[in-house]
Amino acid sequence: MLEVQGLRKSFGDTVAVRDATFSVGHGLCYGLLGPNGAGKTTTISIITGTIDADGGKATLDGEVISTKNPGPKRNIGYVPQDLALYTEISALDNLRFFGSLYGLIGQHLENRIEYGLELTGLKDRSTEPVAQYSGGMKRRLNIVAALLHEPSLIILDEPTVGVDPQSRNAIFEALEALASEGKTLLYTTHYMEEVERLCQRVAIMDNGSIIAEESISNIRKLLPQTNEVVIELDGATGKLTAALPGTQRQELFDSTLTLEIADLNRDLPRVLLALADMGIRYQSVRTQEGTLEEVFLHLTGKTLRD
Amino acid sequence: MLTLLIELVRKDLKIFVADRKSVMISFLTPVILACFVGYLMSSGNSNEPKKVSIMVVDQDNSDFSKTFLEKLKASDSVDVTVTDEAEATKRVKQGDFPLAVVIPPNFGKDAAAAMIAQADGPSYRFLSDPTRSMQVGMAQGTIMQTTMRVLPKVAFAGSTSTVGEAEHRAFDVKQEYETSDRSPATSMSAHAFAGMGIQGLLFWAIESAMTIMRERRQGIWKRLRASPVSPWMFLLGKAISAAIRALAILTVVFGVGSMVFHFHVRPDLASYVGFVLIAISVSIMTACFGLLVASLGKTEQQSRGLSILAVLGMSMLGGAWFPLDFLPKFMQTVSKAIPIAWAINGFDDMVWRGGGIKEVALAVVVLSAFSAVFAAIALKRIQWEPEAG
Repeated sequence: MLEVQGLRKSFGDTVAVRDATFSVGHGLCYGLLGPNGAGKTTTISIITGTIDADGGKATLDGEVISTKNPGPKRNIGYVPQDLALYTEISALDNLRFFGSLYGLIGQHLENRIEYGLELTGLKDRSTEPVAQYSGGMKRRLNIVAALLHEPSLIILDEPTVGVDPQSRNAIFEALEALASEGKTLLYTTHYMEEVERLCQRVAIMDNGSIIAEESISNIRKLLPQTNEVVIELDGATGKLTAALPGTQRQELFDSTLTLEIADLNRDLPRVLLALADMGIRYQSVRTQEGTLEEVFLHLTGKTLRD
Repeated sequence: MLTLLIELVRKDLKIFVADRKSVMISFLTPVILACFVGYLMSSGNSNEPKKVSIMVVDQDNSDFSKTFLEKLKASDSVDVTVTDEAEATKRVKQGDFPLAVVIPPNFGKDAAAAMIAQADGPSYRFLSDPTRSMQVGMAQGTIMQTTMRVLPKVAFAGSTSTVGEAEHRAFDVKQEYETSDRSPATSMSAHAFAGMGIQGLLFWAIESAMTIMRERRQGIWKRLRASPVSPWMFLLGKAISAAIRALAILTVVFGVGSMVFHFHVRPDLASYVGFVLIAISVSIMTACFGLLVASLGKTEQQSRGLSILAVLGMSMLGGAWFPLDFLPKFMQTVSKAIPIAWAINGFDDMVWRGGGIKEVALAVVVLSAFSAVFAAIALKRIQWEPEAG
């Protein structure tokens, strides 16, 4: 289990991380969300033992992670945001080198390399220099290099930046396969849909602090308790002359009526009865749940890509 | 640990040989530089006499001037063309000749009279090109020497006295060069190969350092730091791989030198071992210098700028461009603090002076000390931490 308690880190006068606290249980996929400069990469650098914190601590299965303690590092697989590969040499040579850093040798190393290459669909081109790979292939190889030593915790720092949809899908399938093997994943990204697809729990960082930490289903409840209802009217929109009961916001664009209501169970039937009373028929009614993007906007006042 | 170290070194060597153009440049640059400077230095010391072409205007037309011209033409220092004053002036101005000497009318008669009377005599007129002072100086020396040989004969013609007769020399000088092959030409080229080879090696070390810094910029260091391997192990791997490559470059440089310029170490075990020791010491020093460069400056541009300046300064003060004897005394003292000077001196001990292990021992110790200092500073200063993000 990964435990992060009161982490603090500054670079000169710039505070990169302030009192970050969260924990990631075994076999979970945990999302760390935040815009550029939020402190995600610094937090991850401390958790991977790349840099030391100024205060607080990160532990893996009870052992403190630091630059000088190689113990926990053996159980962490780190996929950096950058393509941390030697592009002049082949994928095989890269993997042999990165595997050797964790003490892998001989047939065991070769087996692990084969597993990684198969998992990410790179086996056919493993002898080519990495410089000849597409961006998506390099991203996949970047991930394989972190998996060779069978870590229990895999930390992925924006692993899908700049990849095409096909490669992104291949990466997702690989990550889902790892999750199904019971690996613990710590995942940072700009993309909400990735967190929603992969993660069970999420922390939102801004200005070095964690401003929310919840399960995916609960974090939407941080939005103000309103629900958006979209009703496709069947013509006769001219008959809609008055405000509908129980609505906080009412917008009509062509035949699409968008409403905001406080309580779905109480107010939606009243709205539908009012429409029937006006002689307005409708083709469909659908409700929209608040998205993580909206949660983030609500909490920070800015979008994730700011 | 050894397996890991071998992997670290092997990976760097694979990366090095993967870029064949870069490999060619790494080897050819010091070889071409060394060959060029070696050729210049060896031809400047060749046993083949080098004559300075001069013009002579004989307005005296006397026995003295005729004998003088005859002896001057026989000299192996100057090549004489006799002409008139107008032509001589024109050709010197054009830069065709560095010097024209005018023998004025009655020069021989007046000079002989002055010699007997021990009074001031007449003067030659020298028309010279001020940009070629070295050749002018050499030619003037030959002219004065020839005059002193011819003038007494003319002055005392018919006399029983033979004072000043200089047709024979009372003594002569036979010069020997204390080198491995007794040849000044091949030894000077060996010195040039050592100087240019080491200078080229240090420039290569700068590029090697840039590769290390690029790895940091590309985020590879982050991945390495996240592994359980300690930082000093990575630096050790870098240093060993760089030293192996430097040794390969030195081998090629001196290999080409010995084939083209025929210099060699003294053919005995002590000299061979001494040469290998100094070559290994220089290679390790170069590798550690590369680490030092990588640890200086926050960006590649900063480190490259600083280190190019440092290599050029060290090359000049260390005797890579010309022998240290050409420098003022205080600069020769300063050179003791420059690793290039010790490296060149070590190679000179082996290839030029024909020394052995004993002669090269001090240079090996000093270069090892420089390596240790460079590596210690690099380990302390090198920036592992990424910028805030």
